[in-house]
Amino acid sequence: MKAGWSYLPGTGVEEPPMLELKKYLRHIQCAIQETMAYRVSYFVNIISQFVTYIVIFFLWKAIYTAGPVLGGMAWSDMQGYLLISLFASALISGSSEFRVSRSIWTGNIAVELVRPVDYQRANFAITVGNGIAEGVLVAAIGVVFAVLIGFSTSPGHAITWFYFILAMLFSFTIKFLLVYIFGLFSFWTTGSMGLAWIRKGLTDFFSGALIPLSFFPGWLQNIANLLPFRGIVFVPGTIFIEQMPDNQILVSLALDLVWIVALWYLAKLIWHFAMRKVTIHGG
Amino acid sequence: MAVIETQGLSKSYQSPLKEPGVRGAIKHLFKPEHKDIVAVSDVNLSIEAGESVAYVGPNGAGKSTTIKMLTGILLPSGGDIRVNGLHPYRERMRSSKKIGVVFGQRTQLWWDIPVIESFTLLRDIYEVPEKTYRDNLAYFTEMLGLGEFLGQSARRLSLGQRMRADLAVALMHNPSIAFLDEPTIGLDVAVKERIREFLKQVNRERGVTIMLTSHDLGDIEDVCRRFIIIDMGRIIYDGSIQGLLDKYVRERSIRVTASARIDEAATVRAMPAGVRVAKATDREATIVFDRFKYTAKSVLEVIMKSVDVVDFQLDEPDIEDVVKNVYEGRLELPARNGS
Repeated sequence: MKAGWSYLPGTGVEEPPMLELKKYLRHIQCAIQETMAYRVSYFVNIISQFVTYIVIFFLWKAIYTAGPVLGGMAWSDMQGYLLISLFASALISGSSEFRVSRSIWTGNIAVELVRPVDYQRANFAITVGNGIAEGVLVAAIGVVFAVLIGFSTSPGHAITWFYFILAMLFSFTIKFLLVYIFGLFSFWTTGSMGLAWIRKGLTDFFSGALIPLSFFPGWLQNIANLLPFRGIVFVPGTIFIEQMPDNQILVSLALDLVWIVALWYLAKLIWHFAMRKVTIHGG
Repeated sequence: MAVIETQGLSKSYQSPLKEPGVRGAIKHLFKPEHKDIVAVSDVNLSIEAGESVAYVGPNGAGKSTTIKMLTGILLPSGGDIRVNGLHPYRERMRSSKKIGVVFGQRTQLWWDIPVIESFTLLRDIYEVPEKTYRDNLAYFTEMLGLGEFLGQSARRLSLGQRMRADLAVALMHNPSIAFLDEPTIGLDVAVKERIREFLKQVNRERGVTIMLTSHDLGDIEDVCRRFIIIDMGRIIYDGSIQGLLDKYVRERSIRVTASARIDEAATVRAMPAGVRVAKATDREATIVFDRFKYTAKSVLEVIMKSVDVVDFQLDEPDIEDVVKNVYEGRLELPARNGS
C-alpha cells in the first residue's frame, strides 16, 4: 500500500506546481471565452443585476429622507457601499451558480472526472474566468452609474485600496466556496433550485448585501459576525467607504482567510462522502 | 502484462424506495427507505496490453458501472481493481493520465467554445508535449476528418462530428488504454465505418488497448477479438467470438427451393439422424443440422436425392442471434466461462 492512500481521493497534487498552475490557467482562459460566447445572456445577466440595484438604490434614497446619518452611515457612504454590493454580487452569477448541480444532475460530471484534474480547483478556475469576464463589464457599468448619481468619493489611502482589493478577492473566494458546497448537495437531492434559493437568501441577508450589518440589532450582528457571509459584501463594502477601523480590518481579513481555509476543506470532505455514497446519474 | 485486472469487483448502491404519488413522496421525505441494488457482482477481468475487448450486455447489465469503476469515477464497493497497476479511484490523478475515455452519450468538449480550444485545454490538462500534440492533431485530423469543424463550437456540431472530436480528445495524450462506452450510438453507417477503421488502426499501429461497449454487434465483430458478456452484474462469457459461436451455435440451416412441391414426409424420412426439417411450405424447406456432425455438403447431397433443388441458401451462424438469446435469457450459459 502506498502512503499516498491516506489523502482524500482525487485531490492529491503529484506534479510540479508550474504544470499544475498551467492547467488551471487554461481553464480560466476557456471560461472567459465561454462567458463571451453567450453575448446576449452575458449582457442580460448584468443588466438584470443592475436593475435590481437601481431599485435598492432608490429605496435607500427614500429611507435617507429620514435623516442625514443612519446606522452610522451618511448617504454618500451608503452610495459607495451599494456600489460595492452590486459589484460583489455580480461577480458570481447565473452560470456559475448552477454549474456543479447541473453537472451532477445530468451526470455530465462523469466526463469531468476522467481527466487528471482536481474537480474543486477546476471549478474555482472556471468561476474565476467567468468572474473576470463579467467583472470587467460590471465595473465599467458601476463607474458609469457612479458618475450618473454624482458619486465620486473613493478611498484616499493606498493602503485602504490594498485592503479593499484583498477583501474583494476573499469575497469572491468565499462566495465561490458557498456556491460550490451548496452545489455538491445536489448529490443527495433531486433538485437544485431550492438549494440555490436557500444559499442566495442566506447570502443576501447575512452578507449585508441588502442591509448593511451595522443596521442589524446587536444580537443579530453577533450572529452575522460568526458566519462566513459577511466577508462577501460587508467587509469589502465598509473598507471601501472607510467605515471600518484599521484594527478591525485586519481582524476581518484574517477571519475571511480562516473561513476560506475551513470552507475549502469542508468542500473536500463533502466531496469525499458524496463520491462514496452516490452513483453517477445516467448510462 | 495485464493492464486491466479486477478480482471480485463489485458495486452496489442504495436506491430510494418511493411509493407512487404525492403521498409516497411525502412519506419518503420524512421516512426515507432504500433498497440495495447490486449493479456489478464478482467480476474478474484480466486484459492484456494491446487487446481489443468488447464488453457486451443488455441495458442495465452493469457495463457502464464497470467502465466507471475502471475509469476512476466510481469507487467499487468490493474487490480488487488495477488499471495500469494503479487503483483508478484512489490514484485517480495518476491513473487518468494513462487512459482515454469516450462516453458516447456525453462530450468532453467545452460546449460554447471552438473545438480546437477544447483540444488545447485538454493538451494542458494532460500535459501533452507540444510536438506530440501537433503530430497527434495532424494524425487525428486526417483519420477522422476533423479539419472542417475544428473552428466551430461544439454546440454546432452534428452528432457524428462531435463523436469524432471526442475520440480525438480521448486519444490526444497517447493513453495506453481507451475505454469507449457506446462510441457509435446514434451514428449513421458511414461515420460508424470511419470510427471502426480508426479504432482498428489505433489498436493495431499504436498498440492502444481497447475496451468498448456497444449494442451494435457490427462494431464488435469488426473491432474486437475478445468478447465479454455481462448480464445482471455477472460475467457469463469471456472468450473469442468464434468460441462463442462454436459453443452455443451448434445448428446451421439450409433453405432449399425445389422445382415441384416438396413431399415433406418423404424428405423427413430421407434425412439422417440429427437432421430435421424445420419449415416446409409448398416448394421451400428449411433443413437444420448439427454443424459439428455434418457438413453442408453432405446434407445437401441427401436432400438432392429426393428433391429437385433449383436454389439453396446456407445460413451462417449469427452472433446477433446468440447475443439476442443471451439477452432474453433463452440461452443458458454456464456461469463464468473460460476462453
